[in-house]
Order: sequence, then structure tokens, then C-alpha cells
Amino acid sequence: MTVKLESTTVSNQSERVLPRVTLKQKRFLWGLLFVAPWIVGLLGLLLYPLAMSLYYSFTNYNIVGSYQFVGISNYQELFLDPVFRQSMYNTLYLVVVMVPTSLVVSLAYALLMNQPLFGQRVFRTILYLPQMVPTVAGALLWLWIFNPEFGLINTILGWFHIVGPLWLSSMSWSKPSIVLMEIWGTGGAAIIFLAGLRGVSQSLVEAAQIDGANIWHRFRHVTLPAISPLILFNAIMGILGAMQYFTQAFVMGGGSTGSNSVGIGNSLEFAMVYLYQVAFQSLRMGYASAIAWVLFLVILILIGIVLVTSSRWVHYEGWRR
Amino acid sequence: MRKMIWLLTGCVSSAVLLVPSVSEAGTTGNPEQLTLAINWTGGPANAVQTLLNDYNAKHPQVHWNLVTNVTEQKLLAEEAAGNAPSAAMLNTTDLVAAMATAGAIEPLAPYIKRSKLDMNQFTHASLYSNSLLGHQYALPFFEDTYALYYNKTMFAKAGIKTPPKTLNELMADAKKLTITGKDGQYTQLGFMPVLDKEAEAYLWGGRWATPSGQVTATNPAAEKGVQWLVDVWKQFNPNKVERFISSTTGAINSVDPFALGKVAMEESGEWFMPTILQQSPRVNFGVVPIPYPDGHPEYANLGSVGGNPLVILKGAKDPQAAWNLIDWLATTGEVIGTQQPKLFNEIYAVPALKSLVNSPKFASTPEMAFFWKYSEGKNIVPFPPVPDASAYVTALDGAVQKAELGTMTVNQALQQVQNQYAPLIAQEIKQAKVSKFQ
Repeated sequence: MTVKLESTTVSNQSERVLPRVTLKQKRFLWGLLFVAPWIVGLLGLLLYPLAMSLYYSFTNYNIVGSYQFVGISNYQELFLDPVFRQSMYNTLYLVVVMVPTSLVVSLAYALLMNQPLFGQRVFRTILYLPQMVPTVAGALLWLWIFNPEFGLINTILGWFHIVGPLWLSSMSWSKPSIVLMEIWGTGGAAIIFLAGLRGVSQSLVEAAQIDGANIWHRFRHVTLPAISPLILFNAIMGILGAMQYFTQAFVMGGGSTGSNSVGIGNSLEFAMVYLYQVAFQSLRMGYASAIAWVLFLVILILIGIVLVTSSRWVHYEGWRR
Repeated sequence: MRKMIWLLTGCVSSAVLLVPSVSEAGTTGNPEQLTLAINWTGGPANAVQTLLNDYNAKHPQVHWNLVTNVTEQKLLAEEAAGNAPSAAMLNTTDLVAAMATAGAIEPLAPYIKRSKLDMNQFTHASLYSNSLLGHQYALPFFEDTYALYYNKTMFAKAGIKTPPKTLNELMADAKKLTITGKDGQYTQLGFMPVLDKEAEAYLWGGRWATPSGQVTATNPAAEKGVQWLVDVWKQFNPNKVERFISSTTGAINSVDPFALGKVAMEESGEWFMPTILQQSPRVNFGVVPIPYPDGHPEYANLGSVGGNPLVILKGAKDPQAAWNLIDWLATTGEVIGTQQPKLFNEIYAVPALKSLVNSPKFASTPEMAFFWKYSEGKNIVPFPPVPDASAYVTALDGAVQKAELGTMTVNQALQQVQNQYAPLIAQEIKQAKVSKFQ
């Protein structure tokens, strides 16, 4: 009886402090309070800058001064800008050449690492090591490897009396050089594939073997579908990385040495590199914002295409259409 | 009573808030704390610190603190955040006009007028590179000027008695001094066909823009200069030249073919000398004017110049104090920096004061004396101080490379840059005229 009386009193008091707040609403408010730091971050550090960059893309803005609304003229200028066109070509080259090549090579690495061989762990470590190298340090290392005069590759080719290409000093070889360097760093994707390969159902593989499937058929019809979600993941990450390619190109293309074109004849002028130059060398933040939005839309379209087509080639275990 | 409490609280709060600002203003005996931001680090930054110490000792009402390794991008970010240092030394003159157009730096005319600073004491090129449409936005500190380095030993070995004076002589010497190895590649190059800051335009008196800021990438004189450089590449085979020079991306690289005695002639700045002496102290080199076109001695002693502009940033805490400092650094500071060997060996550049460039006795070596004097010549031209100069020079660099490698003709390459930058820069100049000079 006493307990009942006390609880009534407490209930009455809380009703006085928070009238008409139901338990559900209370929980919702507590929930909001807990996620408040994230909401503040989302609004202040993501959505607000995103909205402002969209607004700035329609203005003439230079960080310190006031901005003028210029309508769509930044976007119109983009399509007439030869350096922007070249930077988009260079970037899409990476998407078309570097992403599939990296996927194939990293999958090949994973298949090799999945074999029960002696020293497998050592190989895994070696393949993953490039991921541990800081980006700029890696770029400087490859700058030496690609040197046509005394670089590692051309020195080795020289032993066989082959005159190696000019690599980064050639307009036609500079982008393949970047692709080659990125293949070196595919250990991360290979580890993800390896995890997927370890999860492939052995009973399915054995069943296929009993049915007379050879090694290629087992790979093509059992292993590959089983790891297809990981291929999708790595493809999306690869596209994102290629579309935002910056540091290595900037360092290896000589962008950090002042007013030089990045890569010989702008051949390493990727979209993000050009965006940086426009924003921080020309101080044209409005124009740079327009580049960022075009880049964002292109990424959106590419990822959209991959996701839409993925329903045809990605298979999820236990998932039915 | 309640009103009294509010009044008292207000007075106390105001007093508390005012105390630091009075103290900062230096009226209570403590010097005003101000900041000078520079991009330099290491030895050159130490030299600036020594100069600042000197200034602080002579001006007890202010204390300038030095912040090093501050890029222009960082400066702008600080400025946008309302936390700009009062004064700064930029790393390139290419950004002065862009920062002026953006309103990031203060125009100096009112300060120059008030302090009656004699602007005639500075070399013409240094003043021009720090201006926008004739309005001064920065004071020159130390400059970089470019001339032709040549290897005396290699010249003697090839039987060439004097360095080239004209472009034809340069080409003849370059051919004599170029050696091809058994594999068909160059083992020695007579002339490194690269001119800094797109100076090839100046060979026939061309300019990349008019003094009023009009872009002239396709002017016939500039095109002729670029064509000459492209022809040099063609004569020596672009692929072979590129292979040879790809062992270095610039004279400041750790391995320079001129310092190694693999290149007989190379255009570079005065700052290149320590690199040569450090990498190969035995290289016997000389410095001469960049050769001029045959039959056109009026273009003799040509070259480019760049420097380290001293600016007052918009939103500076004490712009007048900032002016006092940059005025001192550009004049007294430069004299001290030049005449004290310890400081000069760190800065190692060309002064912008006419009195110094004409005083070879203060130069550390005869070669340095040559650079000093050379910087004052009428054909020494900075990249034009136009808005977007930095992007314009980058675009020219890419376009000229394409012409050198044969993927475009010179005219196509320059026309592309003209089409892109002429309207853009014209628009920015128009806006600058409306917002700043009317």
C-alpha cells in the first residue's frame, strides 16, 4: 500500500515537470540526445558544407572576399575548359583501365594466397606491405623506380638490351605508369578477396567436382558467384578512389614544385588535381565547387550503373530475387 | 538596488574585457604581439628571424613573432577564419595579383604616401611583379633572376673559347657539346632546352600580357620565342632529350646534370650556385646573359625574375605596424641581410634595391655580382602580374610541353591558352577595376 502511494507521488511529480510526454516520446528524446554529436557533425560538417558548395558553384567566390551570384556560368565554362576536359579524360582512364586491372590482379593474388603453400603467411605479409607505406613515400619510391635513366625497371630492361619507355616523362606512358604503381598497392583488396575465398562453401565446390566440373568451371560457376559481393564492394571502392585520385599524381607529376602542369603535357592532371589548382592556386572557389559537383554527379552515375547492373552478376547467399 | 548591481556588473565586465586589449596595444608597457608568416623554413627562416630580432630590439613597442612554413593556401584559410597574421612573405609573385583581386591583401598606396617611401629605390621588375594594374600591393624582398650557366671545362674541351652571345651561337655550341652514346641516347647535352617562368616569350621581346592585364599568349613575338624553343627540341629529338632530362625534374633536385658535368649550358637562377658547389665543388662554371636572337641586340640581357613579396593581409591586427615592418624589411632589412655574410649565405638571392644591385663589393662572388646587376636590366621581365597568373603560367607550361613533344603546333597550343585565359582574366580585371580602383 505504501509503495503504491509513493509511486503515485513520483508519477504525479514527473507529470508536473514533463506534462504530456509519453514514454515513447521520452525514449525518442533520449535517443536524440545520444545521437546529438553525430547529428551536429552531419549538419555542421557534411550537409552544411555540401549545401554551401552547391551554392558557391553558382557564384564567383574566392575564400576571403564577398561572392557574386553568376548563375550557371561556372558550369558553362567547365564544358569549354580544355584542361578540365583533359582532366576528366585522365580520370575516366583510371576508372576504365586501373579499376578492372586492379580487381583482376588482386583476385589473382587472393587465389594464390589461398593455396596451401609453404610460406603462405610471409607472402600475405609481403603483398599487404605496400598498404602500410605512406602515400607520399610510396610515390617518391616509384618516382625513382620509373626514372628512365637510372630507374629500377629500365635498368633491368637494359640488361636485356631493351630501351625502356620514358614512363612518367612520356605523355603516353605516364597514366599506364600510375596503373602499374596502383597494382603494387592492391594488397588490401586482395585480403578482402581472400576472406571471401575462405568463405566459399567447400560442399558446393566438391559437389561441382563430383559433377565433373574442371578447375575453371569450378572457379567460374562456384567461386566467382560466391565472392561476387566482394567484387562489387572492391569495384565501388576502386571507382571512388580513381575518381578522387590526387596525392600520387600531384607528387609524381610535379604539382608540388610550383606553377608546373601536373604530368608532362597535363597527362597526370586528374580531376581532383585540377580542382585543387583551381581552388588554391587560382583562388576560384566557385569554379572549383562546380568541378566538385560535376565530379560528384559523374561518381553517382558510375556507381549507379555498377549497382543497377550488379543485380545480374552479384549473388548473395540465401537471397532470392 | 537591482539596477545598481547590473551597472556594477557591467563596469567590472567591461574593465575585465578591456584590460587585455589595452595591454596588447602596448600602452601599458608590454609590446604589441604581432605575427609575420613566411613560407621559408630552415636556414633562410633563421635569417629572417635574425632580422626580426633586430627589428624587435629597435622597436620596443611591438614584438613580431615569426611563423614559418606557411603556404599561401594556409594564409588564406587563416584569413577566412578571421585569424590572419598581420604580415606575410609570399613564396611567389604569381599570387600577388590574384590575392589583390580577391581582396586578401591590402593596397599599399596609402602607406607609401604616408611614409613617403621612395619607390624609385627598387628595381623596376621587382615593383612591377608586386603590383596589380599599376597599384602596388606588395613590397619586394629578395628576388630570383635567371641567366645562362656554362661549364668552362666542357667548353675548353670542345675548343669553344667564349660562351654564346646569340641564339645561333648557342645552337652551334650546343651541337658541338652534345655527345651520343653507343645506345643512341645522349650521354652529354650541350644545352638544357628549358627556360624558367616561360621566359622563351621574351627572346623576341614578346610578353604574356600587356601592362593593362590583357592576355597576349598568341602575340607573334611570344609565339616566335616558343617556336624557337620547340625547334631546339625537334633538332635534338624530343624523346631523347626527355629521357636525358628526366633524370632530374629541376635544378633544385638532388641530382642535377649540370652539376654532374653532363650538361654544358643551362638557364637557372642565382640560387642554383650553392647546389652546384654542394654537389660538385670542382665544376668550373661561369654565368653569362641569356643569348639574344641574331641581329637583335635590343633584346640582349633578357630573362625572367620572381621574388618573395611582403604583404599586409586583410584583417591584419595592426596594419600600420605591419607596414612599418615590411617597409623596414624591404629596405633596411635587405641591406642588413645582404651585408652580413652569415645571413646572406642563408638567403642567397638578388636584392631588389638598386643601390645594392649596383654595388658588386657587397656580393659574395663575382657570379653573384653578375646576377645582381643583371636583375636591373630593362629586358628582365617577371611573369605578368595578372589575376590568375598562377593558373595561366601552369596552362602555358602544359601547352608548351605539348608543342615540344609534337602533339600540338605552337600556334594551336598558345591559341588554346589564349582562348581560355583571355576572357577569364579580362573579366577579373574588369571586376577589380569596378570594386577597387573606382
